[in-house]
Amino acid sequence: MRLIEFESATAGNPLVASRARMQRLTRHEYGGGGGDGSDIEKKRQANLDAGMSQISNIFGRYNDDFYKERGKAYTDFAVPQVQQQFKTTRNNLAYALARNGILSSSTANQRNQDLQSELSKNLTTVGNQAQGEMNKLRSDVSNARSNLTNQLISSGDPSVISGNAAVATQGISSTPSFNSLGDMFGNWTNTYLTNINARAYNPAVPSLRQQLFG
Amino acid sequence: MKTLLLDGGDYPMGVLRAGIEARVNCQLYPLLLGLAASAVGTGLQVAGSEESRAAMESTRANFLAQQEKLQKQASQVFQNSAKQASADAAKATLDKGADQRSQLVQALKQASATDAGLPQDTVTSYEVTDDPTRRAANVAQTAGAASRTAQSTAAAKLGAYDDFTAQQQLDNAEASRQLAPIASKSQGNARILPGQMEAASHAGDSLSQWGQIVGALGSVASLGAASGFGAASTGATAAQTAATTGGWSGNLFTSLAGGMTPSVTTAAPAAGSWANAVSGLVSPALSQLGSRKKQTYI
Repeated sequence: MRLIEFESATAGNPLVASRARMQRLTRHEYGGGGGDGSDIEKKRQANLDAGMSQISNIFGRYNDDFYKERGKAYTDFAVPQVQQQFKTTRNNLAYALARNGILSSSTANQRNQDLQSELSKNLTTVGNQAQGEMNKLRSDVSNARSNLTNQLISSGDPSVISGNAAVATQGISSTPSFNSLGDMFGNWTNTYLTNINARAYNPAVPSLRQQLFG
Repeated sequence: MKTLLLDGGDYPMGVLRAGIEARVNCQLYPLLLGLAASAVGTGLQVAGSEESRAAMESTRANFLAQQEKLQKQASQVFQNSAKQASADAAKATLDKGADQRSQLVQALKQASATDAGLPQDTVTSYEVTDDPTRRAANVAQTAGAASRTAQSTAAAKLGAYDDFTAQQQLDNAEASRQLAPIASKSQGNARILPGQMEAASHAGDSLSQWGQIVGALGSVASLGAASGFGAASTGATAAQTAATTGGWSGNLFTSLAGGMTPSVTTAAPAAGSWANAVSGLVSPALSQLGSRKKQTYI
């Protein structure tokens, strides 16, 4: 406006017209606004603030409860498997002890405690794994948020946030796929149960104590 | 003593005096006006330059203030991030992680005992019984439970370091996210600074332009007035010629005009429009006067 008034007031002056033309060129170079690009930059920074606020709103729902849900999802997935494997192993132990006639013995007590310790260890592993899943989810959410932030800063356009946020958070909110647990009592079985079974059918097989201590 | 011989009374002398006064008035006032206009023009240009300088200084100060504000924001983000990385914060994170893991594992064990009928992995009081096998089982259970609890606690503490590492990464990422727009704004401000300075350097253009215009008019007026003085000799010559042609002779006009313009004659060798106009007005008048009154100037 000021430039227009200036041009109107100085119309007909070649020197002024030349200077005004230079200012118009400068304004064109910076893309409009006040001729120095400040309006464009102000708008870009306002867009950044708006986009950052938008991102905060989008990711605000990813709170502790959300992450705990992921941990619960993992324990709901893994614990029943652990329980089932434990029951199977415990039954096999009982059968083996019965076959050896030591179902009620200090050895049986020890084997049961060993098996229970194995259960505790596996449940601890599952718990840590669940915590790891929560941490992984937090990291995924953080990465998605960082990616959106980078896109916002690169584009300066908050309108890209809403569209890309749906894509970015799609994987986060989708049902996770966990790896199978495998045979969590396999090592214990190989260490203890196999020996007991072998001794049940062949007394010549050295006991575990004999194997360990001679 | 030179005497002007007149056969027609004092009329020609009055005309000469009036012409000279008119010429002096016509030349002095534009000269003063031109000098004043030049001074005003110079003042306007100085004011324009001052306005531009002030605008540039304001732009620079504004830029520095913005950068300082952003720097404070960034510093605050860094301080918060650094605070989260302190030893106390690390210990708090580790303790919190260990507690969470212990509670989670304990909850899993209890849920397994309740839901699936698995053995309760807790330290129980000794069962009073005479059965030695049973007593041994109780002892083993109690010792085993204590051992397992200790192992779970140790595992939870160990796993808490993963939580700490993960939390550190999250905190760093959050700090980076907060710093990114601040850095972008800072870079943007720096990017447009040259343009802003360029624009600010033209803030006083309007005043300067008017100063140039007024100054140029003043210069024209001054030159014109000065050229008018210089042209007086030309006019005087013409008048002398006219007077000679008409019977006038002598150096009264030359002495009058030359006495008034000893220096401006050389300062304005080319007669300007003002001087042309003035001499153009004066010379015909003198020529006409010479033709009408053929007198001898001794």
